[in-house]
Amino acid sequence: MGKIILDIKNLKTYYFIPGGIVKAVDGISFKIKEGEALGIIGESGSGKSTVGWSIIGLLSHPGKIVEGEIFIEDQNILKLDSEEMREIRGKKISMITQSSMNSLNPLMKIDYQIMETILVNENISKSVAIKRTENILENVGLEPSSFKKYPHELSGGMKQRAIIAMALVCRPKLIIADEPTTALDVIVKAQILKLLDDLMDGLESSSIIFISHDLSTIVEICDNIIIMYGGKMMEFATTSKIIKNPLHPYTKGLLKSYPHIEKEEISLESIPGSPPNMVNLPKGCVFSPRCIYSKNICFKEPAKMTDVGDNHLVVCHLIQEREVLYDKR
Amino acid sequence: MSEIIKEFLKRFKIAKKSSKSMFITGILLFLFILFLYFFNYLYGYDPLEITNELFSPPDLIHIMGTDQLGRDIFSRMCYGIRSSLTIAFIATFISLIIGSPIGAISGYFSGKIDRVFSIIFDALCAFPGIILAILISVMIGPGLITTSIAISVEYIPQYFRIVRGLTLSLKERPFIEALKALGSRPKNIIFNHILIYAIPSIIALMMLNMGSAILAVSGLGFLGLGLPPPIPEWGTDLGRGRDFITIGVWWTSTFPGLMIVMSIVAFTLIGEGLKEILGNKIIGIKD
Repeated sequence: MGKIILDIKNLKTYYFIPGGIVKAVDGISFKIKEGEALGIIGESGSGKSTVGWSIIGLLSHPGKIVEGEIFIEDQNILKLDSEEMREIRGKKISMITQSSMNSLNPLMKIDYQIMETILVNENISKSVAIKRTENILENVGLEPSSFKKYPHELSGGMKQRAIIAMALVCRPKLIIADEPTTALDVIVKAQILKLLDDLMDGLESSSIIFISHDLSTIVEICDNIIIMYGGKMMEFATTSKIIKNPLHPYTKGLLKSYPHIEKEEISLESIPGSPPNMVNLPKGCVFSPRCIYSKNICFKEPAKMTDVGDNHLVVCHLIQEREVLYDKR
Repeated sequence: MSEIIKEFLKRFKIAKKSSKSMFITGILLFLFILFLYFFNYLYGYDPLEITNELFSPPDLIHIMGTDQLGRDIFSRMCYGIRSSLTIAFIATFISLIIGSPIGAISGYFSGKIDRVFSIIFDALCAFPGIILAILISVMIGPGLITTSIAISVEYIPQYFRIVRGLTLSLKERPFIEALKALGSRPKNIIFNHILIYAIPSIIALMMLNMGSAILAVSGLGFLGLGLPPPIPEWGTDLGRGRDFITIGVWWTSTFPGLMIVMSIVAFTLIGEGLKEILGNKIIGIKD
């Protein structure tokens, strides 16, 4: 595969709130190559959306990037001023935001909004922009009759299609899709995911970061998956490795909590406990209070990242003794 | 456009009975004023023509009688509509043009800019409007534009506050966040996306302000700070005519006063009705 589009090195994004410091993202590093699709999985509050907002440079008020570097095509975007950053947004990075059902201006027709996005980012004439708008709206599967409609006249799935069109229309190098399928029913969800997958095949040099709390939605699209917990990376591997050979106890727990279409599983297992208090994180490994395998060392020292081979990274103390431990259960 | 009108009519039908009748009354009064405006052409008296018939009481020849210089009062009233409406409209328009964008910018960027503008406009609010208008019109002299400017200053904070409040709530909405994420300039977000939200509120407020602006125009005229004579103007005529009430000439001041009251009532009723019909929500949105 081609060159590296996004390179994040030891990113730390904290929210400074009156009660303390929320370490929403605490030392995350990863790379994305051209055309790659990366999934970030985590529970609510694990900092996965914050990663997205950090990359696009639109952290909301108390949030701040305290450490780390973000390179987009060899350009450290944390060193850019706000105007240069705005130039990059839309053209190089774009985002499909979380509450995407409300991401269209209810007072404007959708084709106008998409045309505006083109005109804001590119220096082309209006007639060309209109043509491109029609083109992309057709590509995302909207009927020509609905181009000139207001958002409230469209169904949720159609709105989502329009938003995807808006995010892709300037052919960005990197697309951050922050839970793009929330609030959609299962069938529409599947259609939207399929559409995104097809569109990404069309944009060969573009990469996508897919942020979700639902492992099952992204396994088909993503090449690699990052499992996040408590602001930290727990496991990184290719999708097939995560599914077939999860090494981190948390990943194992996550996988057990999904129904499997072929196995006749009687009941689903959940992970005991609740996500950590982000102001007051556990001293050792963040997952240790909920981990069924945890030993003394887990509560005392933060775990280190281990490469078990083939770029499969796991952050766990017990990675060496995993076979013994996991067999016991 | 047609959808907006359709939605408006729908809301008008739903609007409470009282506000509906208020709105209709306002419209009728306004139409009557407009009718007078054009009726003047049929009536055929020159409002500036000085004749020998001083203080002729209202009769069939001079519907509202004549004033101290023998000028036809009805004709002057009809021409007075022009000055009052024009000045009131220009004044509200100026305050709208200045107040709304500053409100949107201040709300959008918040922080220091917001602090500074808020303090300025709060201070402006603390001043009684008519005193401010007198002060400014004394400073820059009488005339159509200058009077408009003097009056407009009073209304700027109102537009500022309404638009700022709206912007503060709007900028947290996901679609503004999405616009930012797709590289929109703040200029584009403010002028294309936020300000159109404020239009219904601005229209309702504008109608209400038109009424009080007419009062302010007349007030300035009454004090001799409005349009320079002999331009027909309700307030000026009211002020001049007041002197002759004691000698039994009531028509020189009554009719200008009546016209002022009528137009203020018209605009206030329309404004209140619009406020009810447009509500806090914006035409064309089901959110």
